[in-house]
Amino acid sequence: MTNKKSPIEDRIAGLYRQQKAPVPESIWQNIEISLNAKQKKRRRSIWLFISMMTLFMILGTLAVLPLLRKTHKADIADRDSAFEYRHDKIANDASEITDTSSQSTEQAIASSRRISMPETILKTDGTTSLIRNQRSSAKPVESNMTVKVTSQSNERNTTPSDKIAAVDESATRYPISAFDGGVHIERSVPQQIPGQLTLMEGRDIYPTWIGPNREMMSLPWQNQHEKNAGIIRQHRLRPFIGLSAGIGLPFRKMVNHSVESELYIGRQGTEHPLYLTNIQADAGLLLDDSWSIKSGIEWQQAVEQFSYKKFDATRLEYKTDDITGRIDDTSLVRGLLTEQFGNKYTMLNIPLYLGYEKRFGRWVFGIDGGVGFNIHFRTSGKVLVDDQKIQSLDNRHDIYASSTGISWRVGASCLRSIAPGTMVYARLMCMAYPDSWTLSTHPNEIRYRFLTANVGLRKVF
Amino acid sequence: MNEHIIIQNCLRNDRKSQKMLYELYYQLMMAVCLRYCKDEYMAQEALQNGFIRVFSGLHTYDSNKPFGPWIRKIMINCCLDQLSRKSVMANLDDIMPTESTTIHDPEFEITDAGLTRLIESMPIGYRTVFSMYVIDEMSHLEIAEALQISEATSRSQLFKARNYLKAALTNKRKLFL
Repeated sequence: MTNKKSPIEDRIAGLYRQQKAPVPESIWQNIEISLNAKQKKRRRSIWLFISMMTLFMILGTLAVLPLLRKTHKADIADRDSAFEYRHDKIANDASEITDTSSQSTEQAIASSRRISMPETILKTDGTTSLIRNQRSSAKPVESNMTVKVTSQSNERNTTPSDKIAAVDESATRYPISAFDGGVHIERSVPQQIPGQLTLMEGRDIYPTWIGPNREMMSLPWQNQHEKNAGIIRQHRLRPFIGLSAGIGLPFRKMVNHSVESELYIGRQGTEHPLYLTNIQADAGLLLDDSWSIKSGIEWQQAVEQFSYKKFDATRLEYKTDDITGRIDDTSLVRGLLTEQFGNKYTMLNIPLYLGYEKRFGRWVFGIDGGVGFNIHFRTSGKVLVDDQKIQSLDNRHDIYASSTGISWRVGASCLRSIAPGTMVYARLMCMAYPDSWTLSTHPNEIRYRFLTANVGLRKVF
Repeated sequence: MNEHIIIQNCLRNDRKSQKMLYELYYQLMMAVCLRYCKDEYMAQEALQNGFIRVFSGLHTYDSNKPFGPWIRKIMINCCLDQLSRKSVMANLDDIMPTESTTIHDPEFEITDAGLTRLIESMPIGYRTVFSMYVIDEMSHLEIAEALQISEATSRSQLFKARNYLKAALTNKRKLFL
């Protein structure tokens, strides 16, 4: 659509549209300097972000590393639950350990193959001991192994020879080179009672050459050092899901690009932030019941009150004929005009949080921080477009941007266990949107910050 | 090179392409800036800020629409910002036409140059609204938004600008008679 113009105005327009003017060279140099400065600033922000993330990861690793090295009896207790032990009474031990020539003693002849056993079982007086080959061993043991197996009073029909055979059979599954001088110090065995038959399950508890889910003999440790060999703490990584809802207080900051204008003052006077509602569904992973990472989907709606009053407004009033429906009379009415509306800013975000929590009995306290990525932003309501004119936001797409950008979040939460793996929680969170919600071409920049309080439910599996 | 390709390269912060885009438009845009700004120095400042704003906000440009009007609009906004910063357009309604020497200039003719001088002699308030409406084809709603005035003020300013132009032309014709 073109504006109505007289011929002379058309001539002026044609004259000016193609008009060119000389520009000094220095302009481009100044532009280049400004662009370089902006780029540097952006790069600095990116590096700052990367450095912060790296620092965060290093600190996280440093916090986790001591836990990895830590060995304590509690680990053994933890492991006990994972394995199945069948112990006979200790009182029977003495009678069970008989001379080596008795029935309960069997000689297991190792295969004629050259087998380098990581652990060699030697016969001693009335007991059995275990000697570990060290890497420094000149020759691998190639031998007939004599194994004393304690007699068992359990109901299982497994004979000691079966067990030895099991060892041997299993050993053939792996290349010999894998065992040459191998030391399985790290694969520690939980505390056992000497001379007991133990059924063990689990990958970490027996040398790999025995194979999983096989019965093995329990043998007394050769020395205290081996007995106290370290056990790697088993980390527990558990998934969880959560659902929360809450309300929040919005804090709005509006600035004008240049000087304060009537529009800016008008908008400041007519728009009042009221509250924020949010619902979040998330899923994540919990490491050792302390560190957590979670993400999900978050719906947020900020509500503002739009209130406009004009004292000397005029309105045209119509009077219609009840029968014909035609306008009978018109009159101008002067008075107070009030426009009130609830402006809504609806957002869909994908948040990503990293958190740490600590348990105190049934209570858990945690802190977390993260970033939210906006994937949808919609505005509805009314807005003042000049000092007097009000328009619907639905018809104006030149004010608000299509996305709110990223948002930074930091929160503190308090959780209480209500059932195994299920917790209710309350959470306080600060959220800041660093980018303006308005378009860069719009004279007003609007930024929001929120303080929210949420309640939710978390299920850990 | 195709303007679209240059813009795509500019989006990747390619400095050479940015210079190419600048060279494509700088003379035209300088003319726009000169039309809105009070003096050449102010126009140069507006042009510089305008191009920085163009390169920074290029991602908001809709490639389905022509680039010319978009860059022109940004330049106009920059000029208006510049003017409002210097309080030149503090109150459009208060600016009344002053007696212009150009109208009574014996050298004045209704040629292209004469018309240009006539437009330049207009008070800044009239000239701004007149330029936006007649030359840059902006509607009263757009003018009102850009200048942060009411639509009615925009209409009245244009009416006054047209009267001013008519009076100046009539005056000139009389001089010739």
